[in-house]
Amino acid sequence: MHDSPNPANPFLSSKVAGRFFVGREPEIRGFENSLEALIRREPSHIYIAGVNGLGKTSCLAKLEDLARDREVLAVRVNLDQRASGHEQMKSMFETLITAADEVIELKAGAPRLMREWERGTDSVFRQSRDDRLRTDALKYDLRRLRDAVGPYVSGILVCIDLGERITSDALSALTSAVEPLPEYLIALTIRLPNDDGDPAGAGRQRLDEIAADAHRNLGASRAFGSAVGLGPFTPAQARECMLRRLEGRTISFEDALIDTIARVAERLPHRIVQYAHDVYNRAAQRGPEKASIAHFRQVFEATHRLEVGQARALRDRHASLDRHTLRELARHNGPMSPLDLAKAMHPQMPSDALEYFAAGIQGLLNRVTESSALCRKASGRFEVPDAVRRYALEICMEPE
Amino acid sequence: MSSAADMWRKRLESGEEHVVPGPLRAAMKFLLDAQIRGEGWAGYPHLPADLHVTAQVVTAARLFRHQAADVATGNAAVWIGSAFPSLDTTEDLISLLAVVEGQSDGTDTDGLRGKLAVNLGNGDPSTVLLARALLAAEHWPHVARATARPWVDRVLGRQLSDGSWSSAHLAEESVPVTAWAVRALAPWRDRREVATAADRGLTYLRSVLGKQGWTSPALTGTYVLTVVLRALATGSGQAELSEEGLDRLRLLQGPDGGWGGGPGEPSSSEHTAAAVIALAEFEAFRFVSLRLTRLTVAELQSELSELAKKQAVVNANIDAWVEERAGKILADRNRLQQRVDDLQASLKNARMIRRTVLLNLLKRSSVSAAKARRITVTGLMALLVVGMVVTWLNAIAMDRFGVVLRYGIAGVDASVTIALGYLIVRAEWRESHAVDGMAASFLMIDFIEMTDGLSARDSQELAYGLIREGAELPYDYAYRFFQEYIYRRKFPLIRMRQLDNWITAYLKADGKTRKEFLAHLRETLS
Repeated sequence: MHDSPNPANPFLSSKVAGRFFVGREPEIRGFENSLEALIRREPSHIYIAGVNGLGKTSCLAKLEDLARDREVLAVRVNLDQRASGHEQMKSMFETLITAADEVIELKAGAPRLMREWERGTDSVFRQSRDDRLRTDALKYDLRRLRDAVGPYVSGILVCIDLGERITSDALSALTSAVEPLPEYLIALTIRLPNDDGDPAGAGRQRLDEIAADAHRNLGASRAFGSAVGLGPFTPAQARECMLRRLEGRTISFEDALIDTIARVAERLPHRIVQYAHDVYNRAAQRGPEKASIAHFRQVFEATHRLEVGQARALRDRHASLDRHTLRELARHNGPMSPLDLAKAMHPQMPSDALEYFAAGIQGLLNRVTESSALCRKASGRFEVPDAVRRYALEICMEPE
Repeated sequence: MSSAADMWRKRLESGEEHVVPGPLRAAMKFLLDAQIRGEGWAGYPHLPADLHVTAQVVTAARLFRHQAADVATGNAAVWIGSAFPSLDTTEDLISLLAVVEGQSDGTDTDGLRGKLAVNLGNGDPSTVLLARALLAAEHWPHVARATARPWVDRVLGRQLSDGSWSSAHLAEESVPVTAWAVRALAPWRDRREVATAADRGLTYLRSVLGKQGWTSPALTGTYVLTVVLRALATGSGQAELSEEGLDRLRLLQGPDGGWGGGPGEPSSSEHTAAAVIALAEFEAFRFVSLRLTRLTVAELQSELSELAKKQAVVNANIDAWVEERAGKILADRNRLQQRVDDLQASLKNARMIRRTVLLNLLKRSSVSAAKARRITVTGLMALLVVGMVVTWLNAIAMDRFGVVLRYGIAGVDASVTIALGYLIVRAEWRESHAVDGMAASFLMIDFIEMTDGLSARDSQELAYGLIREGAELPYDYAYRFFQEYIYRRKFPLIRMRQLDNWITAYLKADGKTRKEFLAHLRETLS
């Protein structure tokens, strides 16, 4: 957002939750089961799917932490989207070798795999000599690496972040190569372009699409038996996400502020952290104090100038009752018919008066829909499309 | 003229009657029927009474000046006093003030005004809220109105360079806010800066309305239409534009007499009140009877006719009166004018003559030089022929005649040679004399050209300065002298350059040329 970094701000390192990781209990239980299965040499590869900002990378980091607790060698791999499958696998293997060498050095005091890899055509690693991707070479190399590091670890976890970047050839080769090697567990994240309510299914579809490009080898996709579909936090998790970071701090957040941030951020972890970061900075400017909704409003107005400007313009064009109606609409998440809105505003109203009032609301919302992007109409129902616009409308329609 | 116009206006206003036209009577009935018994007004039937809606309706009802309306607003004020013991927002405060203003129910209006001032002073109110507060202060007593002065300044400070006010950084959304500001500033127009700002705002609104018309999406809806109309009601001129808007507003009135939020929408008390206020501010309730209007027009026509007759008589007498009282002065003035014209013509003529004389002088000098050259060439040719003849005769005579004759011929030969020498010397002298004369003439012409644009005083001063300093000035001294003169007189730059060039040429000329030039100059001046 807009505020400059404040090293003391607990919401600063928002990319990966790390020690502030909260919630996702079912997912963590799934990770633990997968790791136990790996140790039993019955691995079931994992994919973690979700839209941007839901904490896929944080989940991957959590999985790595859990793996390390179980003496599993956990390696994080970042793939280059522009690289070929051969280059992606070579890059992944180099990362694996580096991590394995660290373990070997720690346990046996003589790292040697990287030296061997760097011998090029004279290396025992076949990929180092090849100029194209071959499954048998990858399998051979993975086996050699397993043999080298196997005595010191209980398994090898390969975590591929931004897994949607993997080429179909690489995915096909990797899954085929590790199939006979039960010491390996692959986990990859898949970023989804939009949230259709079933992230696990959408992730599977994306994997199928990648796999289908490699000679319709859907087996490459089916190798990933454990699906983790990430959705927004629950209200309790959203709350915990903020409170965990505020532990031991001189600045605290009011309960209403926490709820408001969670609502406006649609309980998406990265947006919660971003808003909370800016609110914390605002509150810190005046010394230790309790951050309130007033701080959040300042942050919100600075961050979403366009939406707030549109809402203010709408406010200035409407009478008080119309403003009240628009505020009520903004408080509801999802489309509403004018009659539903009238009922929500005045549940005790007689039905004929309700219809009269609803006709007035219908006229108002038709006019607003025509003149402003804040409100939209579909099938005779009206809604404010997203949480940011809802909150902009809500605060601007309040009496001053 | 203005006082006469005021007199007639006052005369018509003295017979003004408060008449509510049919459509507005229907609107009033709608509003009175919509009041919740013993309370205020709600937006729509069966909704709970609302402070802001009530304030809007009370403001409109007061414009009706109807007994039933007075009772209704009184009831509403009593209800509001009990229903809203504490006020949450500044808007609540403004609405409450609008309702209780002028009621003798014991409400501490001074306290409310003070609280409003504190609220607006502490926060960052929107322009519309400030405008609403200013509208509430419109009917406050003079002393209390001083409280609102800082709000006016804040509104003024928010005006944009194009004359508009904006809700936010969205230019297309400026119309309603600008309308609010213009309307709110209207009672403060006695301050020059306020009048200027309000006029600029009005110009902006008219410009937008002129370009987009009343059907623009930004003006859709009764409420915004009424706000813009109220702003236009504060200015004069462009009546067609306002009438178009008023027609549009009238068309939105429903069959029940009320107004809804937009075309075809169910009527609500708030929108109806807003429409009534806008129409009232366009003086929809103010009428003068037809009888009084006809009478006044007839009297005006009669008076105009009398005035026209009087004016004709005055016109007829005025020339005679002028001739009588001012005839001599007029004749003297004409004579003097004629003399000035003659003198100017003479001066122009003299200048022309002077120019002609100078050009003739130059021409004469040129002719003298050419003539001298011609005589010299002819004489030389003749002497050359004579010399050749004499030389041949001498050669022949040397063999055939005696000594005496030979000496005689030699003498003639010598005479011819001397005559030839004399002619050459004389021709050279005359040519050089003619060239010197030309140089002086050129200087003179340049001088005339150069001083042509100067005043007579400057020209004469320069000329006398040149004569006074004489022809034998040392170059450096003279140059400095004239430079100082030029700069002291502060001539235009182009004239200074011309003078500088001329003086340089003059000082570079030899003493004889300068003497001749000065002689010409003296001759011209005399």
